[in-house]
Formats: sequence, C-alpha cells, structure tokens
Amino acid sequence: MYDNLLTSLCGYTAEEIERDRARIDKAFDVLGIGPEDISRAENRITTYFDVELSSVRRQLGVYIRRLVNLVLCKEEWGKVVYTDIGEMRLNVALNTLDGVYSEQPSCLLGIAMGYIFDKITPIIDSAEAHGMPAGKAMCSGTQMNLGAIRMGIIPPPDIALVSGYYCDQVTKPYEQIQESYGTRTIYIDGSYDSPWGQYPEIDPRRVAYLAAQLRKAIGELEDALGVEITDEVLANANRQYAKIYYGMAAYNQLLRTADPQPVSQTSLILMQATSVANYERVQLEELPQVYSTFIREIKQRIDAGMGVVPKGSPRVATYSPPMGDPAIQRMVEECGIQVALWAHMELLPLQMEKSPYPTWEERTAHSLLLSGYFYDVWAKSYRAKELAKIYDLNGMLWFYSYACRMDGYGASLGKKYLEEDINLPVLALEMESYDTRHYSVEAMRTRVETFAEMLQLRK
Amino acid sequence: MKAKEKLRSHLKARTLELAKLRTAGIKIIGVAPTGYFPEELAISCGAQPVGLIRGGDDGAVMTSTAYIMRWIDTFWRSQISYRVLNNEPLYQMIDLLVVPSTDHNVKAMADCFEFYTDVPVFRYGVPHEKTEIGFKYFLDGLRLVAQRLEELTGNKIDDGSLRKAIELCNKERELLRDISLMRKAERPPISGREFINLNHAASWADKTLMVEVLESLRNELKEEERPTLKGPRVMLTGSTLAMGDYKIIDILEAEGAQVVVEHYSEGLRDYWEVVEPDGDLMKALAECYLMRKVCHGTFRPGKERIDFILRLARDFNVDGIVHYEPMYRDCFDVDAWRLANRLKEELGISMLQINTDYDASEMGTLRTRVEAYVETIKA
Repeated sequence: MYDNLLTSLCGYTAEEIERDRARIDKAFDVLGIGPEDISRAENRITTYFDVELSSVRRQLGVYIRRLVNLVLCKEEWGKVVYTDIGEMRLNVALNTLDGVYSEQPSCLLGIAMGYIFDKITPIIDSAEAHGMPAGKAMCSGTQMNLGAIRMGIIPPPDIALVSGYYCDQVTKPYEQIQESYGTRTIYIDGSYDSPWGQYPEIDPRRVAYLAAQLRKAIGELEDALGVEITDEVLANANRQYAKIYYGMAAYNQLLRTADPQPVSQTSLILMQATSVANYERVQLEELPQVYSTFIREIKQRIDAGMGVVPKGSPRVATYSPPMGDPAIQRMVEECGIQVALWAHMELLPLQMEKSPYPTWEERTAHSLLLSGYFYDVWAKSYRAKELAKIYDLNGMLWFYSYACRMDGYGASLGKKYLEEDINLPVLALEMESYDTRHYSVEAMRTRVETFAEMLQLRK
Repeated sequence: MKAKEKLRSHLKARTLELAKLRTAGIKIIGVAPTGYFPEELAISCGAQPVGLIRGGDDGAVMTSTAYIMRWIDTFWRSQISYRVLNNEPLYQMIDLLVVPSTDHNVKAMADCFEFYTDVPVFRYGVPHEKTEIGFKYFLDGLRLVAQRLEELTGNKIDDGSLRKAIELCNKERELLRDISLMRKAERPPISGREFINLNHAASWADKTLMVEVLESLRNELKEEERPTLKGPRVMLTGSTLAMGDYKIIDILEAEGAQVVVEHYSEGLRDYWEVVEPDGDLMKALAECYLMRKVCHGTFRPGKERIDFILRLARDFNVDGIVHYEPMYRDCFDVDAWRLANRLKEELGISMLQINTDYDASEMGTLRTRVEAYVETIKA
C-alpha cells in the first residue's frame, strides 16, 4: 500500500521498508492511514515539495519514521517523555539517555499528519470534545497533543515536560492527562514581565528564574526517570545541538542571498520545524547527513540559477510560518514573493557573543531569552528591524496563528512599529498553524498578491 | 441602610475627589487587577491605588479591535479603549500603571499602554507556581515596584507606614470576609449583586472610609430583617468579573436565583487571607499575595483553584454554579472542563458555562440559557 510512497517520495530504501514493515503496518493501522490517505499523501508531496531533492525526500521519511516511533513508543521504550517548544538542549539530552524516548507530538503530528497526510481535523475534533472546545480560540498545536492522546492514536506519556515561559495554554491540558493517565507533569515556569523596549538587554532576573526552573526540571526528570543527567550529558547535548544549529545556519546563509529563492519554503519547513520542537533520536542520527545533502543540493540549484520564484522578486522575512498546511507557502511563492529568512531562526551578531554566565542552566536560559522568540513582542520586532537592515529586505510577512496570544497581538504591534520606525512594509497575515478550517488560502492570496505588487513597485 | 448610603455618596464624589488629590500632588496608581499587587505598598507611600476594573461595554470592545487582536481576553482587550476613548475619568488620571503580569492577556494590555499611550507602566512577574524560587522571584518584583513607587511619590516606604497600611487593608479584607460569610445562612442578609458592588467599590474608594462603611454595614446586616429565599443558591466563578459587567447577576437574580458566593481571580478582590503584620513585611506581603492566596487560573498546576471552588460550593451549600467569564481566557476555559466534571462527580452539581464578549446582543440568548438552567436546578 505504501511502498511507492515511502521509496519514491520519502527516501526509504526497500530494505528499510522490509525491516520496519510490521511496525509501519501497526502504526498506520492505529492512525487509520489507509489507501486513500496514501494516495492523498503522494499527491500532496509531489504538489508541494521539492521531491527532486534527495535531502527533502529523506527528511520526509524521517518524519514518517518519527510518526511510527511515536505511535509505538510506549511498547518499545522504558520511559516516554513528551515536551513542547522551547528547551531544545534538554530535549536533546533526554534523547541521549538509555531507555528514554522523548518527542514533541504537536509539531510532529502537524508535519506528518498535516503536511503529508492532511488528516489533522479529527485530532482537533477529539480535543474539542475533551475540554478545548471550538469557538474559544484554543491553540491547535495544544489541541493536537490532547486530541491525539484522547483519540488513542498516541499513548499518554509517563512524563510531560512542559514550559510556561512562552505560552500559557500549552501546559493546561496535561493537567487532565495527568488526572486521567497518571502522567507526571514537570513544569518549566517563566514570567512575562519584560518592559517594552528592553531587548536586546536581557533582564538578569529572568535569566536567573529560568535557569532555576531548568535546574528544578532536571532534578525532577532525574527522579522520574531514575537516571542521572550529568554535566557531561548536558555538555554532550549542547554539542549535538550546536552541530545541528550550525548546519541550519549554513544553509540559511545560502538562502539569505540567493536570487531567485532556490527551494520552496515548504521544504525549508521540513528542515527547520524540528528546531522549534524536538530532536527525536532518528532526527539526531539523520539530521547532519540530511543537512549536508540539502546544502549541496541548494548550491547546485543556485549555481544553475534555478528558483521557485522569478529572479528579482521582492525579498521578505517571515515570522511563524504555518506548520500544518503547505498550501500557504506555495501560494506566497506563486504570488512572486521570495522568503529570504525566518526572522525567529536567524542569529543576530549579539547572539554569537560568548555567554557571560557560568552554568549550563544560566547559559541555556540566557540563550533562549536572547533568541527573542521566547522574550517578548518587542524583542521580535527589534530583531525583525535589525534583520531587515542587515539583509536589505523589501518587507516582512508576519504570519500569526489564530488563537496564539503571543504571536497574535505581537503581529499587530510589530507591524505598526516596523512601518513607523523603519518604513518597512509588513503584511500581518492571519492563518492557523494546524487547523485548516480557520482560513482560506485563496482569500489570503488576494492580500498577498496586493502586497507583492506593492513591494515590487517600491523596489 | 446608612452604610450603603454613605458609600453611594462617597463613590459619587470619588472621581472628583481623586482629581483634586492629584492636583494637590498625590499620585494615582492604576492597578491591573490580577490580584497580585499589594495596594499596601501604594498606600504606605501616600499614593492612591485604583483598580482598573471597568468592563462590560461593547463600545470599548469594538474600539479595541484597532489596537489588539480579537482573541485576547475581552476584559483585558477593552482596557486600552477606556484610556484612548477618554471617557472613563479614572483611566485618565493615573500617574503609573502597575501590572502584575500573570499571562499574555495581561501582558498584551501592558504592551498596548506602553505602545499607544504616555502612561508610565511598571510590570513585574507573577510566577505560576508556589515554590521557593517562585516566591523569591515574586518578592524581588515587589521590592522593585516598591522602589518605583518611592521614586514616583518621593516618599519612603518604611516599616511603620507599611504596617499601618497592612492593618488597614487587613481590616477591609476581614470585613469583606465577614459579610461574605453571612451568605452561608439559609436567608442571606445581602444579595449577590450588593456584595459584588461592595467588592468593586473597595477597588477605588478611600480605604479608611471603606473600612468604616463595611464595619457599619456588617453591624446593620446583623440586625437586618432577612427575606425568605425561594430560588436556588448559585455560585459564580470564572476569570474576571468587571465593574459594570452585571448582566449575569441581574438575570440570575431576576430569575429567582440567589448568588450566595463567587470566586474570581480578577476584578473582584480576594479577602480570604490577611497579611501577617510582623517580621519582614515585604516577605509577609509576598507570603499572603502569592503563597497563601488561592492561585490564579494560569498557575501550573491549577488544581488548588478548582479545589477551592468546590470547597466554597460545599460550604455555601450551592445548588448550581455558573462559570461566567469574558471570551478567550484560555487557561480558565481549559480548566472549566475539569471543574465541571469534578462538580458533577463529587457534589452532584451541574455547571452552566457562559462566555461573554460584553455584547449587548448577548442578553436574549443569555436570559434563555439562564432561565433554563435555573429551572433545571430548581427541579
């Protein structure tokens, strides 16, 4: 049923399929993936992704492997830990421990069940029936964590490591999961008290608080997992994280200056989505090779002058691109806008400076806050301004997800700030990260086309 | 009742009085009403704290769409409008906005004031857990806000002035609690609407006068001829109950239900705990306002709040609970599902869940739902 999909489009070898067939069958059965879904996935992949690139195919395959692993994790691993966006280095560390499996379900399900199979809606329906109802602006990412567990397509974790320094809501459903399934919930708290205009100065109090929270979480993880998370484990996680991050920085460097944009944003999502979510074991093993192939293939395209938009198209940065529906990114490209960079993934020069803090927890906390994404709306706006200046951008496409408190109001303030302060045109575009019922790509097209024309005229 | 009349006349003149005080150099401190600002700090340095608790107007909600996204909590979204519309005198006279920041809805309000107005904003973080590190962070925040208030007023907060303010505020809390507890009686001497009005008044009335009024009222209520209660006893809960957002109470009481107790994290003042006026007073404030206070709905975990609501429901012998709050307060909404389940399982009580966007057109459907609910719990 799925051999063609996996070999032709997802980088599997025939041997890999044979080795994993029983597991794939079992997982697809639990997920309700049948022939129609396979056929839909084939169509979507060939329509939306740069499948002529072997790195893209391989990365699609990594998501399928991760999906299978997630469905079967309870029966295959001693301890299962679910995480959410944020503390990446700790996620990496967890996936280096013996007998521990760690994954961030919402982002993985978004890519695998959304991007590839377009089967997200039943998962969200399930969350809506279990305390995250429709019409109340619930985050679809958070709904997916809850919905998938309640549907029984992914197992409840032994431990949930959830952070509250970026999002309020993401921790809440785990309270009912804890009550229903006995999951132990470990919180990493944060505080939203930075004054407007403070970034890039980072409040040492916030660093100290987040560092203390990380230390507390590590202690609780050690207790729950029955293993010691040593300084060596953490240092090793840092090295692995850095290796991946610099791989990402290397291809981003190529994309920033390329004209025309050589690969679709949809393919880039596949590469980068992992960096805001989790580094599951398969990802840790495969990513360095996938990135190195990706860089080589991008270079070839740049050298050949190949692109997904016409040369000379307006160059913009984006924030928070959609992670469940590739149709949006394709539409942007069809409108003749090239995305030079993701503002939240870029490093500003100040992020390259040596951390003034001595401990792993403090350095991690400082680095997270310095990234801006986990700081505040002002930080995002400031970063966008600096990046626009450094890379001479023509505009900014600020996606924000319906129901995301942080990104939503941030987009409206950020737009006004950037337009008034540096005269950078910003299109704040409402979409939904995973729930496709909340928008129409064609209705968005009208706005993006107009924005593209305006940018073209200003060039 | 003399006490109520005294309060009514005071409130009628209060805005003007505050304006005069301001002209005379007294600083007016606007407080974002998350429940985590010890107003003792403002009082002890000679400032006048006023809770920015106005809500319930659809005009303010409509205006806010020019400033902020529609899925920010309706109460917090509308706060920027009261300032920019220039039609709410209290919002015009604040010299400093203090924001104990609990979540993104509150933070959005602070960002809007900083971005769109010239009001100085001071925010400090409210941790979402009652731990040693959370306590330390909160205490640091209180020290910073105290320092800011000293700079603004030019007056030092010393132990003497702070203790006096604590005693005054404790008295107010004790009186509110005493009056509230009277509603446990089979025939409560005060209606839900009256008690909520009192509680809201305490957010901006002169503190000394408020204490006098509450003391007199408590005595008067003891002697009050109590009407026989015919309808069901109802508890109100949710995230925020704003001053002016009274339609749910009015409908409930018009339908014969009696609101006998309420628990809101915001808008209404917490009166269950008092500050220990001994030892390190800043620590005592942090102890009371963070560690002993029933947690806000954004805390992780939030079980303590749900347990407390169940306890109130039991203690006040309620027949039903109405979970009424502004739209889009996500953490409270998610917890409401667990609250409803536990109420049903542990107390056999059903819960009516209503969200408001402060829209006048909600009245019809709201009345129908409340009527049906009251009929159900009567049966």
